[in-house]
Parts: sequence; structure tokens; C-alpha cells
Amino acid sequence: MKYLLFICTDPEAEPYSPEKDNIRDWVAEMGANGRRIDGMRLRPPADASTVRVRKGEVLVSDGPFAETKEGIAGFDLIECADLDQAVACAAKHPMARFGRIEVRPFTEQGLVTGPIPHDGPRALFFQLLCTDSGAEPYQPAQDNVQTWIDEMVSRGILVQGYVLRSKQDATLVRVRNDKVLVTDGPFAETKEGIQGFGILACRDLAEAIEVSSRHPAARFGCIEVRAFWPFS
Amino acid sequence: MSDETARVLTALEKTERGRLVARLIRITGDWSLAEDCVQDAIVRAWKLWPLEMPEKPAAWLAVTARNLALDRWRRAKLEGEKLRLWDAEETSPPSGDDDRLALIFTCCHPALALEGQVALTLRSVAGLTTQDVARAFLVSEATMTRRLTRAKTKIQAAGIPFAVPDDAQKYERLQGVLGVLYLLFNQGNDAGPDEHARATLAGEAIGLGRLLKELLPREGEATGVLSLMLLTNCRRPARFDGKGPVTLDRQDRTLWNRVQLKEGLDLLDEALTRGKPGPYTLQAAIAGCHARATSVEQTDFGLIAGLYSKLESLLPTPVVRLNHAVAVGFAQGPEAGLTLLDALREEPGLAAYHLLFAARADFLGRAGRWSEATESWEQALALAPGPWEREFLEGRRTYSLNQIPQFP
Repeated sequence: MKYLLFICTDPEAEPYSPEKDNIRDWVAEMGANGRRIDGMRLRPPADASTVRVRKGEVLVSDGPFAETKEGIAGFDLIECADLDQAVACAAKHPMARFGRIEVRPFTEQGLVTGPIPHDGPRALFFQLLCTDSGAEPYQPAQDNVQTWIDEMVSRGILVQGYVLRSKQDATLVRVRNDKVLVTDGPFAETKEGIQGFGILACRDLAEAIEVSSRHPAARFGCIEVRAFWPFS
Repeated sequence: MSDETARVLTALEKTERGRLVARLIRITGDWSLAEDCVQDAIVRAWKLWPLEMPEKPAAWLAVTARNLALDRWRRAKLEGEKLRLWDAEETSPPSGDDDRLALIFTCCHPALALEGQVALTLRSVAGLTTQDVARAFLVSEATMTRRLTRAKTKIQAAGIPFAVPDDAQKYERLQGVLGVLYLLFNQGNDAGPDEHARATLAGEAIGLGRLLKELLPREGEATGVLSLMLLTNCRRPARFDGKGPVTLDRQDRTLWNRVQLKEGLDLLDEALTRGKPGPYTLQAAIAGCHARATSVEQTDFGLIAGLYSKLESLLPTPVVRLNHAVAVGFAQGPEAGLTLLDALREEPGLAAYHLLFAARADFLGRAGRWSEATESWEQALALAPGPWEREFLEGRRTYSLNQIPQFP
């Protein structure tokens, strides 16, 4: 099974100590055993933009999709036999100790991958598709996500796209005092829920926001867009 | 139906149901299908066995449940790949015990919400109906159905394995299983004399405890938690009189269930031979001290205080520390207890805990410090979280203030 790990900060976690930060070892080990497929670090949540379309108007706000104490700092995609193996991978990540990690399964059906085009300078952007309490209702006739996907893949903008399992299927992993704590639930209790995520190759943030505003989920939910680390 | 047929079937339902469900879940990975097919097989047995009793009743149930599951799969046109998988699984089956243990560990997986773990354990391992589980937790059947569906969906969607955890994780995961059993037990144990549906949970928890001990005979804490449940439950007949709850010191000990008490003490002896005792075995040992005493006066509080001190090092919760202080007060006199209790008043979890002030008031009374005792009772009553607790404390106050100090 494939799992997305949301690597998150947590103000109540153990303080950062460089001696215990074995991130290079983790990446090397997970690469060698074939578990890790991909993964990237994000700019801080304060650098995120959230896009909503309400009554036909595009609204862009600063900050992530939900105001929480915990923030998404990066992601990793892993492939494991079952949840226990995925939890073991997550528990070895240094951010399980210095933060918290959400382990979210995703469905193969929603998987989209396209080549990154070489038509001039582009940067990669992280895109989170979320539900939103104040959103307009989903209308199947109008909200054709597939049309958006087809267009963005053909333009070389949508590099990867995933449909995640419900946030109720998420598992939280933390390491505290060298003990692995496993609990039910997403990284933060919010009304909004992450339903999918994508990686966009765009000329700049303005283009990432513009193409996101045309995604139907900006109308029946909200979309967070954030640059990867470092920002170029 | 002959009594004999009914007797055999009732007994088999108890012993075989969980085993059959566990085996079908392992093979099919489908929890609802497994539960339904085993249930259908049992219903068929009730119909058919009075006409002709099969030669091997347990095997009959297993084959019938298996065929029902296969039929359902064929009807759902899951032929080919999945049916071949079935044959492969079935020709190399682990023992039924492994399946039942895997079922328990899966139901109590920490990635499931605790309420889901508890409900699923009762439904799938203990074999209660959804309606019975709902009734025990005082929620509607629809709510309980949703809770169970949620847990089963997560098992499937998140890839929670149907397996006994490997040795590296087994100890941690066993703590979760023991926690679920003990939570279930306490739900039942806390039930009032009229709350029959909730009270049955204590018996279910004891039944699950027996199963776990049978499957993990060398785990001291599995034996310890069963001993603890029995030594606590044996007091139930004495815990209520016509007026309400009766605390341990005032119970009529001749009403205690001697069979449970003896079994609990035997299990305690066994648990104590399995290495360093864990928190459940220590609590069982404390309950054992009470069980062996014929009255409060005859109780070995010195031993109890020592056990609480060991428990406190493993489980330093505010309530354990409070109980330790109380035991020291009974063992060494009220002033020694008061010294420890006063130190606990600094604890954030206990600073406003009504039972801390009640224990303090009781020791002040025993020490002859009447005016301070009266004041502490007032504080305890003011902090009582509800009318039930207030009423209970009123009773304690009257009893305590009328007592001639008995402990030097």
C-alpha cells in the first residue's frame, strides 16, 4: 500500500537537537529498502496562500488552509506492506520526535503523473485540495475535475496528483521519550480536511495561484498553494 | 429440540464463534462477511441439528460458515483470483488460536479510535450483537453501527494488518489490549445496581480476559489483569445496599463471591511467578490483600502501602499517589497519611479533586482534629462534580465523624 506522510511541526514536541536529527540516514535507509518514493521540504506555513472561489470571485488569503498550532513542513511518499510498517517508517523519521507525522493512505485510482517540461524556468509548488466549511456545494455537472487535470497535464503544469483516503483513515505518529505513540486521527483536529494533493510546475507563485483558482475544488472547497524549500 | 442438542450448541457457540470469525477474517479480509456467515451457520445449526445431530459439530459449523462465505463470493462474481487465494490460505492455515489472537490485536490496534477498539472487541471477539453493545454504552443502535463501520473501514482503508504483532512491538501492543479489557471491565464495574446492560460488560471483560490468558499463558500481565478483574468483581454482591453504594470498609464480606475470589487469588499467585510484576499484577496484589482480610482492621495495610509505592514507580498518576497516601495513613497512622496528602495538594491534577479532600478529612477526624476535619469535608463537598458524588460524600462524612478513632 502507498502512504503519504505529512511531516508536521508540533509546539508540544521535544526540542530540536542536531545530534538526534538523522534525516539523512532516514532518507538513505528508506531509499535503500525501497520504501520511499518521493519527498520534499516545504516553505513555512506563513508562506502559504489559500485560494477560494466564492460567488464567482477569486479570493486569495495568506496562510495555510486552516489555522492550527501544528503546521505541515514537508511530505514523503512511501510504499509499505501494511500500516504497521508505515508507522515504523514514520517513527524513525526525526520529525516524529521534533514534531508529529500523519500517515495517510491514498488510492491508486486518483494517481496522476506527468513529465516536467523543459520549456523555460519553472519551480515546483505544493498544492493541497481541502474541504472548507463555508464552501459552495459540489455540483457534478459543473465541477469537472478531470477536465482540469487533463488540461494541466497537457500543459506540463500538473506533475503529480493524488486522491487521499478520508481524514478519518489517518493515523498520527509521535515519538516522545523514545516511545512511539500511535493514535487515530489527522495531524490536527480541524473542520477542514485534506482530500488530495498535487505538485505543480509553474513559472511563479502567481501562476500556481491562477491555475489553482480554476480548479473546481477552489469553489466546492479551498486550495492551499505553497512553494518548496528553498524558494528560487 | 432435545436438551442435549441445545446444550452442545450453546457451548459450541461460546467456544467456536470467535475462532470461526477470526479464521474467516484472516482468509477473506472482510469483517462483515465473516461475522454474517458465522452467524448464519449458527442459525442453521439451531434449525437442522434437532433433526440430525452432526457427528463432528464444531467441524460442521466451520464447513458451513466457509461454504456460506464462498457462496457469497461466487454470487458477487469474485471468482478466479480471489478464490484461488482462498485455496492457498486454507491449505496452510495457522492454528485457530493464532487467528483469535490476531483478531484481538487488530481490534485493539492503536490507530483505531479507542471507542472503536472497545466496540469492535465486544462485537467481533466477544460476539455481542450490535444492539447489545449499543445498550451497554447507552447509545443508539445507529450510532453503534456507525462506530463499528468506521472502525472496520479504517482497518481496510489504512491497511491495518490482521496479525499478531512481531516481538519488537508485542509488549507495547499488549498494553493496548489490556487497557481495552480493563476499560470494558470498569464500564461494567461502575454500573449501578439497576444498570443491568452496562453491568454485563464486567462479565464480558472477564470472559475476554480468560481468552487472552489462554492465548498468552506466559504473559504475567494477561494473568494479572484477569486476577484483578475477578478480585474486584467478587465484591459486587456487597457493593450496594438498599440505600446506595457501600464502600469497601463497610461491606459485608460474607456476601463476596467466594468462587471468583479464590480463582482471583490463584491467578495472582501464578502472575507473581512470571517475572517482575507489572501495573495490573500489582493492582491485583493490592486487591488480593483486601480479599484475604476478614475485615478492614485485619487488612495488611503495610503490605498495601508497599505495593502502592511499587505501582507509583510504574504508573505515577495522581490517583495512584492519592491511594498510596491513604494506604500509608492506614498503615502508619493518620498523621503519616496527612503528611503525604498535604504534599499532593500541590499536584495540578489533584488540587481540586474532591476525593483528596475527603481522604484528608477522614484522616483529620481519625487524628482527633475535628474542626479541621469538618472544614475539609466542606471543601470536599464543594468540589464534588455532581449530585451523586455529593450524596456519596455526605454519607461518608456522617459515617466518618461518628467513628471513634480506631487507628492509632
